[in-house]
Amino acid sequence: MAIVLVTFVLISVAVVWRRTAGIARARELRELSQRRTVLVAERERLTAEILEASSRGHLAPLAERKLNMHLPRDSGYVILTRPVARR
Amino acid sequence: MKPGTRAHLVHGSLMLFAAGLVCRAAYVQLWQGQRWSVQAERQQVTSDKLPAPRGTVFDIAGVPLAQSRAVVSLAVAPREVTSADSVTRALAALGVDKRTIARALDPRRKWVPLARLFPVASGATVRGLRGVHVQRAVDRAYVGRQSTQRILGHLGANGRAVDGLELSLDASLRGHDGTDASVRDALGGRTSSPGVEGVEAEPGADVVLTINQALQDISERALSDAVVKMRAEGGDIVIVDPHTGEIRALATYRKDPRSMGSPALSETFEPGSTLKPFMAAALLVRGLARPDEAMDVEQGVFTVAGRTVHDIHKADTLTLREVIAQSSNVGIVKFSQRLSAREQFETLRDFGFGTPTGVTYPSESGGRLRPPSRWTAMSPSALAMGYEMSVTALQLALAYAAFANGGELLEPALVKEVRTSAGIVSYRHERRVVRRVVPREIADTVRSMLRETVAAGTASDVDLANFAVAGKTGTARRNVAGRYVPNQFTPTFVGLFPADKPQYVIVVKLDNPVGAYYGGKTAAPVSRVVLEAAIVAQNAALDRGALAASALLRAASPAASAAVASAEEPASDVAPRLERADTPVVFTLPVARPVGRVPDGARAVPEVRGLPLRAAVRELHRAGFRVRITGAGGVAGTVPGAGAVLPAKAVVRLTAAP
Repeated sequence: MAIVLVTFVLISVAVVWRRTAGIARARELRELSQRRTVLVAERERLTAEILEASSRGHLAPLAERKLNMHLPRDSGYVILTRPVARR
Repeated sequence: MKPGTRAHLVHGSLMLFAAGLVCRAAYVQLWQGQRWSVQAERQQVTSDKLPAPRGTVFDIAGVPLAQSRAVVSLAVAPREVTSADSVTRALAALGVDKRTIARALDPRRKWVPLARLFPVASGATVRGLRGVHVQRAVDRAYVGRQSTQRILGHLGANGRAVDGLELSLDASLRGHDGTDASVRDALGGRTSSPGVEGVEAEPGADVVLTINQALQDISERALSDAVVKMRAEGGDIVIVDPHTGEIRALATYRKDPRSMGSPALSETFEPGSTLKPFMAAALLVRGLARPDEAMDVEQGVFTVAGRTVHDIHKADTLTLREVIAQSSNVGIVKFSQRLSAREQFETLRDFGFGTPTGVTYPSESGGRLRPPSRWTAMSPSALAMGYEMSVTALQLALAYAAFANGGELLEPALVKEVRTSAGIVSYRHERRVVRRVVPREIADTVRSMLRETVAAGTASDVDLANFAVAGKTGTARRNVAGRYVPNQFTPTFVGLFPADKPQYVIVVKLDNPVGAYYGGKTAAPVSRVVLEAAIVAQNAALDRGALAASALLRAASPAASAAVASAEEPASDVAPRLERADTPVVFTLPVARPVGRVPDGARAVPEVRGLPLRAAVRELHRAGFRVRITGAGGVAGTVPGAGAVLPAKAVVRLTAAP
């Protein structure tokens, strides 16, 4: 009878321990998943900001205002072609 | 009672009790099991909606224009709050104003949702606070300025598409919501459990547009600068690839903040003289006129159906070519009298006027083109000059595209590709010809007329030094609610770039500019700004190989580019060379296309118009030319003009004006 009781207690402890460990891992996974969501959202926000900051619509006025740059007039550039091997 | 009997009684009772328990358990498990498990699930398992992110919208170069971002929405249950101070501090840190915080903590209220959406990181900071409920949501972020937003449209507060492409492509962009299921413990904490599984949200399909964001930015900026400078009420720019019908840019600028949508697709206007080439095409197709046939244009004054038509440029006679180049109203009215009303109507209808183009956009206008049965005696003449009908900027671009692609009216495309979340292409745009509107030879002839309009006609302000441009200007009286407003005009320019093998059809339309109002002086220069910027832009949807060939063709023979009608690949085994090492910007293009021979030592005359005289002389000397000056003051121009290719040490005459 005592052996049965001890076995029962041991099995119960094992079950409870397993469940507790499982719940702890699940909680950890959930937190990691939440952190991942936060980081992914942050990455998306930063990517969008970088795209906006590097877009022509944003950069062109800045380049003109702060760096005094300007687009060349149509006579202000030359188109060069790659040389073709002469026969 | 005997001890044995008593023991049996106890055992029996225990057995009965055990049997009762087993029976009850069996009853609860087998008969009532479903009900109890539902109730237990309701109490122990919590399930939140996982909103599906909408698909990303990209431009043709892969730049994201609209993206879904994970955010959170917060709500406060004031009666559940145990630490008002902590909640106040946390909400204040998130930027919630004091009034909203006070309302959120008012115990008379049961549930106070906060109107704003917060970054997901904010949700993590308030998650531990009792009474603050965090719910996942999806926000839509748009990259780009006003015009791109007009094309893309908006989502309402409930996340539903309201207008623009978000609405017309909603079925593709919208995904399927999922659920996030977890087990709730006694303290309200949540734990994942293998037995309780949620459903992943399925993101919507990604959409690739035909729009090129770099070109869109260039167009938007040129347009907004022009509208401000010319004190116009607004304007539109449409750029279309004439060989595929794909729309590369749709820029809109309106001073009126109530303006919504994409007016280039939905607002109509009278096209004015930009319609004249279609009359010329109708005459040529039916053999009713020849390009070099002269017409008496009555010194620019002609009365028809009781109304007098005037020309700006007075002349005795003009050929059909010159009528288009000089935009002669008298000439086109007299030529178009050779067409019957039905022929005139059918030509315009065939070019797509009066019918929506079918572009993927929820609010497109078809314009107005009345059937001949509803015409007045003046209608044929008015239509020849681009009045008594209305068009959208897109319709005009597609109709001109027929002159650029050899005579085919194409179906426009705003969507290039749709890809499911698994990456499978579910739709890809294929070139679709609506109908052939004119034979190739006629299209090429009209295109050569348009080239002359830019080279020596009303649109000379748009001509470029390195590339030939073809096009037509228009200046129509402004019609508001069916009435012409005195002294208000709608200047327009439609250009084909480059003229020999067009890659763009560009339509620029301005609404009621103050001061100069002719299309050639207002809309055409805007086209020039757009083209100049596009040529030097890194990625503006231009085939640089073909472009370089066009540039060299023009440099080799400016006259050759005017005769664009049937320009074949120039055959040469010599690599062309242009020497202009002193110019400020040099581009190397990945081309090795043999084109016409350029004389050794030849160079192009630089653009010096507008420079101080001294600077202009220095520029020309640096380019290797000798200079002869006529007049004094600012430089009005050179003879030969900028872009002309001359041998080294040739004499360039510099005309100066005070």
